[in-house]
Amino acid sequence: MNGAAGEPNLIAMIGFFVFIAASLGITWVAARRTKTTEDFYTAGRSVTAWQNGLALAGDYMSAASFLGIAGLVALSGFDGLIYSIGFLVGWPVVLCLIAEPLRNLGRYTFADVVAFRLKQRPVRVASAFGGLAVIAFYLIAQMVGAGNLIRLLFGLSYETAVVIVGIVMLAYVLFGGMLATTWVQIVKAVLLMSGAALLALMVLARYSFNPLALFADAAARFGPSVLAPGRLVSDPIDAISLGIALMFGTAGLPHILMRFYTVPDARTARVSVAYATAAIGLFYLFTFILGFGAMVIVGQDAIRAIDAGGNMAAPLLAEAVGGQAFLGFIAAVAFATILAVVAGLTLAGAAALSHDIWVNVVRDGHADGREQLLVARGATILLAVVSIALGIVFKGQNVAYMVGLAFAIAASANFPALLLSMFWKPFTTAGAVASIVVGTTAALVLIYLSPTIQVDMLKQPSALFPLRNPGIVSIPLSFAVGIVVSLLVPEAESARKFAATERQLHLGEEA
Amino acid sequence: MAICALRLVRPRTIIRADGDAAVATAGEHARMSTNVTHESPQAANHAALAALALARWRIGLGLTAVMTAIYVVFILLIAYGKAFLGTVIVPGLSIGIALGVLVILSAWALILIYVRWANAHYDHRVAAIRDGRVR
Repeated sequence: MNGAAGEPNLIAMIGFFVFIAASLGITWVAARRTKTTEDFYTAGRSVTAWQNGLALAGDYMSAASFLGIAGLVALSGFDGLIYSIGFLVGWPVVLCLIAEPLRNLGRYTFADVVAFRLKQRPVRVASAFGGLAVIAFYLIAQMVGAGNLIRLLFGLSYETAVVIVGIVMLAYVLFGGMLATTWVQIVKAVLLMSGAALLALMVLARYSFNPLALFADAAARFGPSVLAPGRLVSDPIDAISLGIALMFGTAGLPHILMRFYTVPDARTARVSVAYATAAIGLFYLFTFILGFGAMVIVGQDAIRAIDAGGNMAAPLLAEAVGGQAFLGFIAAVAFATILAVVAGLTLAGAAALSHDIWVNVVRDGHADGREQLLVARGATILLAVVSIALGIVFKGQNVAYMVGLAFAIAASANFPALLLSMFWKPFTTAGAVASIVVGTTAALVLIYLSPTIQVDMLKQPSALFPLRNPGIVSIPLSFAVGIVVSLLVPEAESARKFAATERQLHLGEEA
Repeated sequence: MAICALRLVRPRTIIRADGDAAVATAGEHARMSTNVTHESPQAANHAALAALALARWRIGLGLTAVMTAIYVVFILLIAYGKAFLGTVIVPGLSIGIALGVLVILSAWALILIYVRWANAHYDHRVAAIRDGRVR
C-alpha cells in the first residue's frame, strides 16, 4: 500500500523546509525586536490573550499528543483516550490555582514565585534542580520522537535527525528569544489544529460525517472490546497514580508556567487559559477520530509493521486518505510540533540556568541586562548541546513513557512548593527546599525502582516499587514534607511577608 | 465586623486613598470614615483583600476538587467498571466513550465558570481595592 516510510518523501521535505524557512523568518524579525532581558524571556509582556492561548496550546501539544495518542487509540482503542482526557484535566487546575497568582508574583521563572517571601538562594537552587529535571525528561522525549520521525520519513539517520532538530531549535531561541518562540508556537498550533481537523474531516467524509458510524465500523472489524477499557490500564492504583500525575503535572511544567509572564496582566493570563483549553480539548476530540480512523482505514497490522509503538498511525492515515502530498503536509506539521515544543522547553531551561542560578545565586542579583542576556544565550547553547547528546543516548526509549515521567516529576517537584508558597502562610524556606528536593528525588528513585525500569529494561524478576507511575506516593510526600519541615523550622520573616505576598498576588505589582 | 460593614455600606462615590492611609490628612480621614466604614481605610482595605483572597481560594479549590472528583471517578470506572463502560448505548457509542467526551466537556464548563466569575466579580473587587475604593 505504501512505500513512504523510511524513504525520502519529496513533498514532506518541501513542507518541512517551508516551515523551517518561515519560522526562521519569524525568528529574524523577532531578533530585531529582542534587545532586553525582558524581551528575551517574556516577549516584552506584550502577548495578547488569544496569542498566548494558542502559544500555550502549541507548547502543550507535543509529539506525544499528536503521534502518540493517535497511535495508542489505533492499536488499543478506548484505552488510548485515557491519555487524551488525562492531558486535558490539568488545565482547570492551572487556571483556578496557578495562572493569575503566577503572573502577578513572578518575572521570568516559577522560582520567582516560590522565592517571593522566602530566602532567594536556597529556593532558587532547589527550584532550578526540580525544573531542569522536568525539562530534561521532556526534552529527551521530544528529541527521540523527532529522530524517529525524520528517520522514518526522510530516510536520514537517527543521529543526523537529532542534530538537525537541535540546531534549528537553537536558532529560534538563541536569536529570537520568547517573541520568536511564541510566534513559532502560534504558527505550529494553527498548523496542528487545521491539519488534525482536515485529517479528521477526510476520515469522517467516508462515514457521512457521523463519528458513531466510524466507531461502529471499528467495533465491527476489531471486536466490541475496542470501545471498552482493556489491557493498557490493568492495575487500578497505577491508573489513579498516572491520572494524578497527569492532572497536577501540567501545573508544574516550567515551560507552560513561563508563558504566563508574556502577557500584560492577570486577566489576560486567565482568558488565555480558556482559549488554550478550548483549542487543546478540541484537538483531543480530533484524536478520537484520528485514532479510530487509522485503526479502520490503515489497519492495525499495517501500523504495527511500520512502528511497533504505533507512532506513525497519523502520518499513515494521512497517506491513506490524502496521498503523498497530504502525508508530506502532516509530516511537516509533526516536525513543527516537535520543534516548537523543544524551543519552549529550551527557553524555560535557559531561564532557570541564567536567571535563577547565575543572576540570583552566583551574582547575587547584581547583573546588568547585557550580562543577563549573554548568560541566557550561553545557557541556550549549553542546553542544545546537552539535549542533542541526551537524544542520541536515549535512542529507542518510549516517547509517551518519558513524557509521563516528566509530568510525574513536575507534579512532585514544583506543584506543591508553588501552591504552598502562594497560599499557606507558615510555609518556610526549609519547607520549600525540602518539598522540592524530596519530591524530585522520590519521583526519580521510584521511577528507577518501578517495573518499567527494573523488569522491562534491566530484566530483573521483580521490582521493589510496584507502580509504574510514582505520582500517588511522591506528590503527597512532597506536600507532607513541605508542611512538616515548615512547622518544625518556623521562619518569622516568611510569615511577616505573607500579607504583602497576598496583596501582590491579587492586585499585581503596584507602582 | 469589618466585612459586615463593607457589605452593608455600598457607596458608589470613589474615594482616593492614594496608597498609604497613614499619610492622609485628618480631614480626608474623617471624610473616608463617614462615607465608607468606621474602620480606617487601611484596615478596611486589608479586610476587603482578605475576603477577596478567601473567595478566590474557595472557588479555585472548589472547582479543582470538582475536576479531580470527576476524573478520579472516571479512572475508577476504567479500573473497576470495565463491563459497564463497554456497554454500547447506540451502535458505535459505548458508555466509556460518552463519559470520556463528557469529562472533556466538564473541563471546559469548569473553565467557563471560573472565567465568568472572575471577569464579573473578581476583577471589580481587585480594582476597587487597588484604587482605594472599598465597597
